[in-house]
Amino acid sequence: MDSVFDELYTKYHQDVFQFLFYMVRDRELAEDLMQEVYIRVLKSYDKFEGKSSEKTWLFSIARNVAIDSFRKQKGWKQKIIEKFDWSKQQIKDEHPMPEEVVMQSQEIQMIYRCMEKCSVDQRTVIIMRYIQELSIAETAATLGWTESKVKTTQHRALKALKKNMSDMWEKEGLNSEKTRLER
Amino acid sequence: MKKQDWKDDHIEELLKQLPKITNHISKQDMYQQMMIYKEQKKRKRWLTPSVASAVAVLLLCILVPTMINFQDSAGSDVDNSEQENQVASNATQPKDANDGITNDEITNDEITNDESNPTQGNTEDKVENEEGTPKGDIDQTGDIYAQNEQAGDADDGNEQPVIEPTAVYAEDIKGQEEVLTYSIPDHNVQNFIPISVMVNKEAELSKMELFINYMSELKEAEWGLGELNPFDADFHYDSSNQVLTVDFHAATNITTSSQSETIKEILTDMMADFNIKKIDLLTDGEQGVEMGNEGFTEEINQVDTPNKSAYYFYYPNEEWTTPFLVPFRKKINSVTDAFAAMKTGIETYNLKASIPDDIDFETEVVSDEQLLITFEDDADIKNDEETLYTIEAILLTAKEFEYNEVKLENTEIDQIGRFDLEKEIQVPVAPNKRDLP
Repeated sequence: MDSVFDELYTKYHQDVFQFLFYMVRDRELAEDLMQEVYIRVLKSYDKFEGKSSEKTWLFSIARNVAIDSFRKQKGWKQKIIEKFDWSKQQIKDEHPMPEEVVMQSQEIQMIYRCMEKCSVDQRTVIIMRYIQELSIAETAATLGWTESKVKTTQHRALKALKKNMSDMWEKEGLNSEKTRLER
Repeated sequence: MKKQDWKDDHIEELLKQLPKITNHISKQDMYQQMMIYKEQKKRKRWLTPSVASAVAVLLLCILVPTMINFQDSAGSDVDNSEQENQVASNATQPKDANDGITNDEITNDEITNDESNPTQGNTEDKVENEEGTPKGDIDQTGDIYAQNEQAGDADDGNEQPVIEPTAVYAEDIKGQEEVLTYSIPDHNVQNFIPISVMVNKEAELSKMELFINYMSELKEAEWGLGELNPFDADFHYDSSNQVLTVDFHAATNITTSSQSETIKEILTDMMADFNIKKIDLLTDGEQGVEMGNEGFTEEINQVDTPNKSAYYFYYPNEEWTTPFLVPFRKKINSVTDAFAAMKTGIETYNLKASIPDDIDFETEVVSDEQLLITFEDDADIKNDEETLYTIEAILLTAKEFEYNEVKLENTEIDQIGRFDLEKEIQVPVAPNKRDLP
C-alpha cells in the first residue's frame, strides 16, 4: 500500500468523509467521492508545497470533488428538465436522513434539513466552521478566500438558516404535533 | 404552532451538535476500491472518444455514399460549383440531427463565428465555388467528424463544448507569428475598435513594416466596421529615426471634422503602439495636408500615452451575436472604478455594458502583477458565451491597468471556455482576433 495513502487515511479519512457526507448528504456518494479525493491527492502529492497545511489542502481537494459532483448531477438534471419541463417537482432529490441524525432531537434534524437549502458556498463554510471546527483562517486557506469573505459568507449562512428554520417550523408545526400525539 | 425566533448563537449551538458521521470502510478496502475505481476511470477515458470516433466514422460511411448517389441521380448537367454547394449543404445535416438529440451549444463556436461574420461567410463560399477548389469538401467532412466527437463527449456529461474567446492569447501564437492590432473606427467614427490579426513574421521586415503592408488586407466592411485608411494614403516608416510618413493623394479632400479626427486618432494610436516619435503628413510628396477644421497640418508629434480604459461590448448591428471588446477612451483612475463603470453601457457611443447586472464581485490587488476577483455567491457565472465575453472584458481592462494575470474566485464551475478557473488566467495578448483570408 502506498505510504502516503496510509498516512493520509490514518490522519484525515474520517474528517474528510464527514465533510463530504455533509456536503452531498448521501453516504454512498460520499464514499465514491472519497475515492476520487484519494486519486487526486496521490496524483498531486508531489506538487504539494506545504504552503498550506496538509489538512486545508485535503479539504480544498474534497471541496472541489464535491462541487464537481454537483456539476455532473446538475448536468443530468438540466438535461431531464429540458425534456420534461413540467416534471421539475419530481426531480427534487431528498436523500433520506442518516441514522445518526434521526437519533437526534427534532431541532437538530431540522437544522440538518435546512442546510440543504443553503447555497453551496454557505453550506461549505457552515460545515467547515461548525462541524469540522476549522478556524476562520483555516477555512479561508481551504477555500482560497479572504478571511473577510469567510466571515460574510458565514454570516449570510446563519441568516439563511434562521429563515429556513422559521419557515420550516411554521410549515411543519402540525406534523410535529401529530407525532407528539401519537406517542 | 407559534412562529419561533431563532438566535444566531442557538443556531450555532445546533450546528455544533450535529452528529459525527463515520465511515466504517477499512484502510485496505478503501485502497483497493480506489485502485479499481482508478482503473475503471482510465478505461472510461479512452472508451468515450473511441466510441465517439467509431460512431463518427460510421456516420461518414453512411452519409458520404448517400450524398454521392444523390448527386448522381440529380442529373449530370449540374455544373461543378453547384455540386459542391450540395455537398456542403448535405454535410451540415448531421449537425442538425445532433441538435435535436443533445443541445444546441455543441456547434455554437462554429455557428457564432459564422453569424458574427455573415458577409464574410458568404463571400468565402462564393470564392470557393467559383474557383472550384475541393477545399470546401474537405473542411465540411472534417466538421462532421469534429461535431460528432463533440456530441459524444457532451453525452458523457463530463465535457462541455468549448466556446471560443474573442481575443488573442499567448497560447494562440505558434512561433513565427506576429500579432498586429489595428484601431479601426466604427461607421459613426465614435469608437475605435482594436482588431488583431496574426500574420507570419518576415525576416526582412520590422513589425511596423508588416503593419503597413497588411493594412490593405483588412476586411473592415465584412467585420461591420468603417475604413482604416479611407483616403488610401501611403505609409512609410523610417525605423532609424522612428518617423512615420503618411502621404495623401493630391485629390484627397478632408472636409469634415469627423474625417480629420479619425485620421488623428488612428495615427496617434499607431504612435503609442509602435513608439513612433513623429508623423510627417504629406500630399503627393509635398509637406503638409489640408485637414478640414484642423487646417493645414504638417506633422503630428509624440502624444501622451493614452488613458487607461474600461472595455465595453460593441455590436455593429442587431445581427451581430459576438461583441467586439472596445476600450472607451475616458480617463479612469483605478481598475475597480473601471469594473464598476463596465456595468453600465454608454448609450451615446452605442457601447453595451460588458459586466451584467447579476454579476457582482470584489476586486483585490494581490500584487503589481495579479488581481483577485471574488464573485458574490449569487453571481451568475456559467460556462457560456456571455460569461466568457465578460471575463474577457475584465481581463482586457486588467491589462490596461498593467496587470498580467487575474484569478477568479468563488465560482461554482471551474472552467469557462478554455479558461481553467482553478488557475490564474493570463491577460490576452491583444483584443478582437480576426482572420485574414
